[in-house]
Amino acid sequence: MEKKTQMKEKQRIISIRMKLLAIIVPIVILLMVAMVLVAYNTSAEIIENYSKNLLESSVKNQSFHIEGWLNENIEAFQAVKTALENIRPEGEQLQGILDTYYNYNSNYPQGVYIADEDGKMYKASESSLNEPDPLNSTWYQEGLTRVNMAVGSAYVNAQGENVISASGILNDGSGRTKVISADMTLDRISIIVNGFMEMKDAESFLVDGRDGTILANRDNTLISTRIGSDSGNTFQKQVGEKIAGRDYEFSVLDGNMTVFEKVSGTDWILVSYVPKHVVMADLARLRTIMILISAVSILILCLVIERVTHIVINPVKKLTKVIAAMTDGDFTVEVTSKGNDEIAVMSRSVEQFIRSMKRMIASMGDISGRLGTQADASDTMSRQMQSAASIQSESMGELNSTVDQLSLSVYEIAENATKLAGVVADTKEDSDNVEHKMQETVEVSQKGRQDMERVGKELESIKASIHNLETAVGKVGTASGEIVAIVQLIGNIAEETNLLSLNASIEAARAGEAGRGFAVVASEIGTLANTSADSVEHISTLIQQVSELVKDAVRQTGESAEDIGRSSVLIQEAIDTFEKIFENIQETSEMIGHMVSKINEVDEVAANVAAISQEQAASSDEILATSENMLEQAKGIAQNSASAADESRSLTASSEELAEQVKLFRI
Amino acid sequence: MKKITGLLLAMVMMFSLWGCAGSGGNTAGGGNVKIYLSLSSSDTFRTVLVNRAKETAEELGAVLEVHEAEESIEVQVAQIKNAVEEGFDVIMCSPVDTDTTLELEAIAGDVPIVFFNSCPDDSCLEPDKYMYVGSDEGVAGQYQAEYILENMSGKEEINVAILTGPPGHSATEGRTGQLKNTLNDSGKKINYVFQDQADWDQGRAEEYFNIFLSTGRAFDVAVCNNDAMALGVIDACKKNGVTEPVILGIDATADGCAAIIAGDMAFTVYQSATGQGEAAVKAAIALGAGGSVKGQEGLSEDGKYVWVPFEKVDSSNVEKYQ
Repeated sequence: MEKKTQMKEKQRIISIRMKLLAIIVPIVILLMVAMVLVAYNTSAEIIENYSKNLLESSVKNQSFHIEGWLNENIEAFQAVKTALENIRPEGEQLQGILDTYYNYNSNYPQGVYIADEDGKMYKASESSLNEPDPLNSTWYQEGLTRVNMAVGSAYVNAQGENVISASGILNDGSGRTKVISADMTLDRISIIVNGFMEMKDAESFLVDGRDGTILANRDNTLISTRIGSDSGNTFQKQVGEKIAGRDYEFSVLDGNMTVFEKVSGTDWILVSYVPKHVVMADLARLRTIMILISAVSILILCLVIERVTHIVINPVKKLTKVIAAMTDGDFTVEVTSKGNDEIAVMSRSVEQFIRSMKRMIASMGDISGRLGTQADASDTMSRQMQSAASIQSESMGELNSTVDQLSLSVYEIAENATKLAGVVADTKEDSDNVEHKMQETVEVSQKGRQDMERVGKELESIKASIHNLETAVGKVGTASGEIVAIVQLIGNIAEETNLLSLNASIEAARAGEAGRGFAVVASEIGTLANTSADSVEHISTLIQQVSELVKDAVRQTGESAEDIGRSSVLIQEAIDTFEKIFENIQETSEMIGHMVSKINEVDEVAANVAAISQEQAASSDEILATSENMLEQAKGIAQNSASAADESRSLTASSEELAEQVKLFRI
Repeated sequence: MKKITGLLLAMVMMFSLWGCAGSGGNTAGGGNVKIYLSLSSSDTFRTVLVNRAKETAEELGAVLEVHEAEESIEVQVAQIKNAVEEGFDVIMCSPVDTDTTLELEAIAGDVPIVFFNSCPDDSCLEPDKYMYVGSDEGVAGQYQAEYILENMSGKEEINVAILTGPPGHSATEGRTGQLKNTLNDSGKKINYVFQDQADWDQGRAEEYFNIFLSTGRAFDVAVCNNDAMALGVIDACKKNGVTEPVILGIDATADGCAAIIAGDMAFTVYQSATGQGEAAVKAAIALGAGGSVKGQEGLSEDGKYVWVPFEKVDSSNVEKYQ
């Protein structure tokens, strides 16, 4: 354990140096990297700008040179042309002039030559030119489009050479159209073009802006081809696109810084380029040197930091050893303090600290001895106290259980009383209800009695009506007897009339013809008499029936009258019965009234009892709570005294340990 | 941290103040700006231009002194030296030879120069310092090409004869280049049956075109870099009995306009001398006051040029330009 701590301390001391290195070195590296980056980028920008300017001025000068060279040649051609136009030579004189210019200038070794509208060629006699069809040649066709000689487009002549011709109409007043021309080879133009270059490592080529034909290029195979036709060459392709788009701004194409310059007076475009990596080659060297210097500086810095911290930290190390010994309890160590810097002050302070610690530890030894004795005494005391507290706690426990039982009993009483009060209260409610119902019953029976009495009265009036009916029916019987007698009389009369008619008929027959009318009357009367007799008989029968019906009615009425009479008696009895019931109910109601008032009294008493017993229960609860508290406290006292005993025991142990610890210090 | 933020804020504020001060001079008024105008030589066009420049300077309250260099580069260089010594704020210059531009700028030192009439090389120009005010020559050529393409839209193959100014001249290069580019981009087959430099000259144009006509080759349209050469072509056609040739010029000179009215010439392009004079003085005042031409009409994207627009002229509107 101790060794581990020591190790840790040692590691920590080393880490101060490490910390310094860990903080300073990354910052320095970062600064160096930033410096290198900034320097590199700035240089790159400067170099790139410088190169761009150089390239631009180079291409401009080159273009001027080309223009000058071209103009020089064209002016020479133009001079020949003007001379021919003024002199208007014919035949040998013309041939002589043309011969003069053969090999006169290396730029156009074949000299000048002429073709007329009939296709006739005039050329130097030594000239190797052999134009099979001058009229359809490029130089002739182009020459027709101008008077002043100017260069046209590149083409392959009959000899298979890539050439470009300067041609124009020869206005010699002959009335025949003639074209004068001179050829320059593209190979020569290439050499001239690249010979005018001013910037080292730069290359250039000349392109005809009209159709993109390469007129001059260091690589001869590309001459007279369309720019960008070789799909493998990205740079040429991009240049071709730029030229086709007439975008002649500086740009970096396929890693080449490229500038474009129009050659004045022609459609030619001079393209000059330098690979960026060539321009930047020096820069790469600069970068390497800067990185090297940075790395060396960082290394030296690390070493310096390491040494400086070592020297600074050395006295601290010594002091650390002293402090480590002190940590182990060894105060016998010596501290040497030289100088007057912060570390010397620290050493002196540590020296003083050791002295005062020695004194303190000595007195601590004494104190721990005394503390041990005191702790023993308090241990005994607390043991005694603990046993007393235990006894008290037991007694309190018993008291508590007794109070608990008491409390339970009181609770039961209270509960019962409360139940009783509840029952009584219910009963009171029920009896109140009964009283109320009773009151209703009294009212209903009173109404019933009144109704019954009304029924009795009604029955009386029915009886009187029936009696009147009886009298009326009796009168009908008498009247019908009289009717029977009258009908019989009529019957008799009809019989007599019939007899009379018979007689009259007989008499009439006797009277013969004179009595014939009478006979008719007699028979009519006879018929009438018969009819009357029939009617009488019919009426008799009807009256007989009426009479019987009346008799029935009388009998039935009689029966009704009797029934009503009986009902009347029964109703009277019912009324009487009702009277009795009413009286009984009245009495019952009164009795119930009494009962209710009694129940009310009981209710109050029961409520009182319940309240009182509840109060008692509450009181017994309080007693119980109090006794429980007391029990708790008693237990607490017992526990406290137990822990006091424990603590005084541990105090004893502590004081013993303290004594031992103090013994560890070497003073 | 707070300190750093504060420091940064202070720096930003300083820079913005500085920036404000720098751009504060751009005002329309030309109060007390002294302009030195060095003119290569007088011709009709330049006289109109300079007169309008004088008027504009007067209107805007600037001082304008005109000196003629008589087509001599030595005189012009001496003039620029004088302008610097006499404390002029800005120089207006139509260069005798644009190749001397760098020399002129070196002599002028801190004094800004507004070039006009003849355009120096692009590399010699700087925004708000050495500027060119004029018309974009390419646009004139483009207008000619557009006229041809509009009026010959039915033809798949067009035979074009071109007469140009001297090679190397900015107007020749700009006008011819853009004419050809526009034609070539049309997708039609364009045959350049004749192209030669007649150096702006009517007589030479007539001579060359006579020669061309003698070859017997057909042409659909004759395009000239200026009206004078167009008039020469007209003469040649008349003498050779060419019926109803289509001839195009540039400049809308009085003779050119008359030819359009007579039906001999089809189209020309008007270069506004007054417009150029006015724009050049405005730019000079802005630069002379130490400000910027920012916001001036016709300023190019790179800030080196102020373009004064060309105008198309044909029989429908020729009366306006007589």
